[in-house]
Amino acid sequence: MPSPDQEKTDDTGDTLDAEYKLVQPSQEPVPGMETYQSLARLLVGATILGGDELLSRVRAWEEQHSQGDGKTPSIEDETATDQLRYALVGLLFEAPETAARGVIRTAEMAESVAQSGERVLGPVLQSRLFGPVRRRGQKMQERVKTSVDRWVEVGRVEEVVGRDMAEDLTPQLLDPLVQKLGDQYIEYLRDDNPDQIQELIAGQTMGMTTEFANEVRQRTVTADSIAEKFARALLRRTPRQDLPEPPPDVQKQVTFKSVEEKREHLMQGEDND
Amino acid sequence: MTEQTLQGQYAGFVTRLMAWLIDRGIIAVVLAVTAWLVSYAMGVFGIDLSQCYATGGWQGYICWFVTFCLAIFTLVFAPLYMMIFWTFAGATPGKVAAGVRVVRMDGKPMTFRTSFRRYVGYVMSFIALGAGFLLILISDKRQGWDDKLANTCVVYSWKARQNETLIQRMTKK
Repeated sequence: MPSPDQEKTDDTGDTLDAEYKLVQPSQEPVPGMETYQSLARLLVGATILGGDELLSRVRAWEEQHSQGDGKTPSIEDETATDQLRYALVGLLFEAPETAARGVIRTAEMAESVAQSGERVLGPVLQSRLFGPVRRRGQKMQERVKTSVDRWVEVGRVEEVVGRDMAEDLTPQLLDPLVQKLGDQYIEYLRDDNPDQIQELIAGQTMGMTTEFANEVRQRTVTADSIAEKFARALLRRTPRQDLPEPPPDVQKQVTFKSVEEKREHLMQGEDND
Repeated sequence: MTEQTLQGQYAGFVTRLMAWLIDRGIIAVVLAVTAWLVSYAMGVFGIDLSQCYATGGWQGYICWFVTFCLAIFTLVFAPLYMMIFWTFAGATPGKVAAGVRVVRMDGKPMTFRTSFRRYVGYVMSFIALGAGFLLILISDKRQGWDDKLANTCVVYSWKARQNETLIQRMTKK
């Protein structure tokens, strides 16, 4: 950091200092900025948390699917369109890596060019003639470095605060929302569609009751045969092979296909009486 | 492919016994509740139905009258329950639960006269210490005395099937 004395004595840096003070964050908060900062913290925290969650899910999903049979389509059947599509997909996967390598190479080249330039222009820039320009450049460099350092520091602190805020606020925001939606859904089912709910519950209850009744009935049907077998053996009668078939009129009375048919049958009985 | 069922076939002794037990349970509950309600209502007026002989005056007359009515109700409730259900539904609640139905052998619907005759057969079977019911076990059409007297039979009203698991267990034994 430049000393205040240096700033006062350096005439070339005065204008720059004034500009720098304009962009320097004031110690006193600007009205309305607190809300922005709180929202920004929350946004940062939520983005980080959401990103972490998404990433963990995607990784789990990838692991799950990488255990598949990994079949690839046969190369013989590929058309030119297929190959173009595959090339684009491949490019999509390799592009970030290629771009990262390019950036690193560019940075290395820039550093090398800067070193060469310094070697060539060094004596000129170190001369008294370029003194003011050099000092101004150094000052600018220091200020940029100070700003970046401050941003890093602020970012380091704010990320932790934002993450904590998001972790605390997510249940506070989501729980009432889920509860409200749940209540609305229950109200919708209870008040607007009570018949469907009753049918659903009645259907399930009836299903269980019918299943239980049928199981008991099946057992009694079997017990009927066993009891008869036992009674016949006790009375020294020949075991019964098959029961005689009841007359069709008898069977018909328990196999009515419709309510009308049953009603007709009952009417017939009333007429006979 | 439709599965062969025993629907419409003659129902056996155990199924009918189960239906009868369910009906007796229902009748017992109804009679007990009625007796308790009447006894409670009489208690409000200071009449104890179990102490009629010790109750004097008009309260004693009412006590005896209510006890008599209760006894008559107890006697007629079971026959009426059976006959009304046989006539109008073809089955008592117990028979519905057991999945059987009373039908006439001539295919016509049940009438009150048929139901009455059937009930008489019931009573006769009881008097004979249940011999009329045991006939279900050996008769060809699984008919007891009550069925023979009223010319009725009891058939499975549901798509009845044997319980294969139970048969296998019995066969192993």
